[in-house]
Amino acid sequence: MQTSAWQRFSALYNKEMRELRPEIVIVVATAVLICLAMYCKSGVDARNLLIFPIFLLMGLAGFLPFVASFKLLGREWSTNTIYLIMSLPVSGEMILGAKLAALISQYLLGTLVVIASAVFWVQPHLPEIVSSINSMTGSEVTLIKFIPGIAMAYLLSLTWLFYLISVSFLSQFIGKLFTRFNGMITLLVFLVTLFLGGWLMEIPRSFINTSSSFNIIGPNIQSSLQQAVLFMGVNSAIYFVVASLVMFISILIYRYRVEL
Amino acid sequence: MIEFKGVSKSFGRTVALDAVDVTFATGKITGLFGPNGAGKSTSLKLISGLNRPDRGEVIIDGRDPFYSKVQIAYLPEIDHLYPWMNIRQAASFVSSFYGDWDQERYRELLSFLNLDEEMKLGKISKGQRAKTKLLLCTARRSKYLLLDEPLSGIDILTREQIIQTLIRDFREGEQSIIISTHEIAEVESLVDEVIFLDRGQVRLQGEAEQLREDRGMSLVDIMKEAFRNAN
Repeated sequence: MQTSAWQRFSALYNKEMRELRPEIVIVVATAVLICLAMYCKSGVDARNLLIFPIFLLMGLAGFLPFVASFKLLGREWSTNTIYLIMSLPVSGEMILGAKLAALISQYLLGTLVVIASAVFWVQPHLPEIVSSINSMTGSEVTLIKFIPGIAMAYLLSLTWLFYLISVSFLSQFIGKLFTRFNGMITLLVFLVTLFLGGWLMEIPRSFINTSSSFNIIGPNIQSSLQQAVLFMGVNSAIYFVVASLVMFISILIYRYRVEL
Repeated sequence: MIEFKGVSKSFGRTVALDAVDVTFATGKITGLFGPNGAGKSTSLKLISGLNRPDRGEVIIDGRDPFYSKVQIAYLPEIDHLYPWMNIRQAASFVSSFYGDWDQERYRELLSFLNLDEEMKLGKISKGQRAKTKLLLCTARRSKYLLLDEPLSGIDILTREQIIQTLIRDFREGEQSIIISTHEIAEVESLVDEVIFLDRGQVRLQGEAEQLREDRGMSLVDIMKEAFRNAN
């Protein structure tokens, strides 16, 4: 007799989130601290001061889930908890799905907190930012026109992360098939898969005509923005398909090849 | 019923199991005995789906072990629980996967084994960890209970508690227990059936009582004799 799929998935997901808690706390706490520090320094030109740490934090929030993907899987072996995981009556899809969901949650939580912190601080300066963008581009565009592009860029970053995590899982599983030099094999497989993935992605790109060069300065800003949204949308879809394929292969290796 | 049909398993050049044909008795306690490297742990890992045979097949109730995991409670020799969890969290995690989890029994066993739910697994003694592993396995009403060296490195009092727990909670006819150990004397009184393994092959198999009666000696002496003859 088995419990519901939702209950099993939740147990695995909650366990992964607990494993990721230190990294999540670091990003959230740093974002809040920077915001507080900016608040205390509100007498100076704080908006300019904010840009650098916010960019750094965004990089950290975006990069940590990828690093953590090695930690989440590798630690199962180093602490022998893989014995528990592999003896559970769950499929590889559920085990890797829970890990992927936790890493994506870490990314969402980290980046959204950083964005929210930045928006919270920048919000009084928004009209000023919009007018500076307009004077830079030489057109009259409201901030709302940028929202689809920003959303699509975020989606693209998410699918890119999904792709990196899938490649990380695949390379680690292949590395675990070897008793010697498995660290080196993992690295090698990771690089080769990235190369092959890049090559695979070029095939659909050659059929879909989306230009990657946009001119957002000048009167054609509107159509350039649309073109950028289309470009990012198509690339998000390509990343998603290739990442799903790599994840599928990882699940097959886990199901049929990995043993203790 | 658990069956091995011509099962072979190697790790590199080391042969762990060599064309083993064996059927584990249903509803009884089977002792899987043998020296280190005999293939005992590999046999249990094959049953619990952690290993796959190179040749032959392992069949559990007519199915591949992968599809029978829900019926199996497996206790490995190594510590396989998350060190950051306390006993309550570990029990909650394990119970999320098995419909046969018995919360009342869990509470009973917790007090019987003198364990506290708030004990953190990374900070308790080896004996307490062994008892926790046993608790998480026996709190379930599983059809198959696989114990890999459950007494290894454990003090005498804890060993007694572990054996008492097994005797107390065994559901004869309904549950099958396989205990893999090289410490035969400790579990001799517990087992109904025995399988002696050596270098990946079955040296001797039969009913414990019958073997003792036929040969007029204890299981420890029978095993010594079986291995002496094999060598």
